[in-house]
Amino acid sequence: MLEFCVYATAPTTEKPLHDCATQGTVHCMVLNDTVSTNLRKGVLEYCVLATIGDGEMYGLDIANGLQNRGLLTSEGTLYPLLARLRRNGLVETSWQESAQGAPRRYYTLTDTGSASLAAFASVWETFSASVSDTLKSTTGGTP
Amino acid sequence: MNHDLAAPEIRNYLAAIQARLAQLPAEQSEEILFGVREHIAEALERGGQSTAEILAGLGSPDDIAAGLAGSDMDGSGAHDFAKPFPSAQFPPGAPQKQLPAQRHQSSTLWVVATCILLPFGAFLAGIGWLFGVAGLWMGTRWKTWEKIMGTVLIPGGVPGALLLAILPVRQTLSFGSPGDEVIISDYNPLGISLPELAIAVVLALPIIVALYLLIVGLVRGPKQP
Repeated sequence: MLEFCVYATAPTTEKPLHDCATQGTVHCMVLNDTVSTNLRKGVLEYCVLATIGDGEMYGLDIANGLQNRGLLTSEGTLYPLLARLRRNGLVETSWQESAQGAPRRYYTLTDTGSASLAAFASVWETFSASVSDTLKSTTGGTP
Repeated sequence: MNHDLAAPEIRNYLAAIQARLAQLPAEQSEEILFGVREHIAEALERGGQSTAEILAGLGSPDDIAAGLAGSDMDGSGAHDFAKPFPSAQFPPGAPQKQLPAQRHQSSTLWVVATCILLPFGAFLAGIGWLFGVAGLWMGTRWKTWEKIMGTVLIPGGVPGALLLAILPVRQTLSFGSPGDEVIISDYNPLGISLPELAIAVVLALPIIVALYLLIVGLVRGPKQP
């Protein structure tokens, strides 16, 4: 979890503030892309866990949900991630007969998955609050 | 449903993903492909999106393959996808390819003994040199060309070199008559006796080569695990 914080903060805190002020808008947009890509990488798997939540979710619905929120640019990248989460024991799959066609595969959280999500949520709360506070503070120096 | 998935553009798309996941274990790439296939089938069934739109939403096969590495950047599962790559690349071939690295390394004693036996082994009843050559070729710290050089340049080591160097001299001496001596001194206007120089070079060669093999062998020792 700590590693995650370090990773997420490193590329995001300083660069955009300095570069946006001194460089053109185009460059700033590219940076925005980089920033959101980097941020997404760190949190996507927890967003997947959160999307599944207490329910049983179908792959397509997880993908659509994340994409509608702008958390997933290419829906296809969800499936390598889901496969890894399953291998790591954070989610499990079950098969359910569908009205028409082949049985469908549903994802649910395991106990480990729920615990991991809860741990992330608590870290994220303090982390995002700290980042927001830091970004809001216009003057330098210690608060 | 299956009928829809048989469309050429979908088949090509799935095949392209499969090709990019080739380095993963079959079980893993199957799982990912299954998810994508199901995604397309279900989206088609729900309607409202064209095949092209669905595929565009999924992203390019490269995006999906890149997601393998990209989704691992955080701490917890960071190495899960990274690890299978190297080991899964050549499942049956890998153990063979890694053999040289895993093979037991020659010990320092082995290197030193070999480098002593090569030049001086022939003094031990003549066969010590053969042990030196065996040690050289069984050793793991020398390259093939160094092994060939060690074998060819110093056959018999210092005693062998002595024989090589002294025999021709003896021959000239045996033919030696007062007349020959005059001729030899005529051939060496620089005042250096060529046979003596040759003897020095031939004698020094085994020792130089053995020293080189010793140094190279000792330097390479600790580097390789």
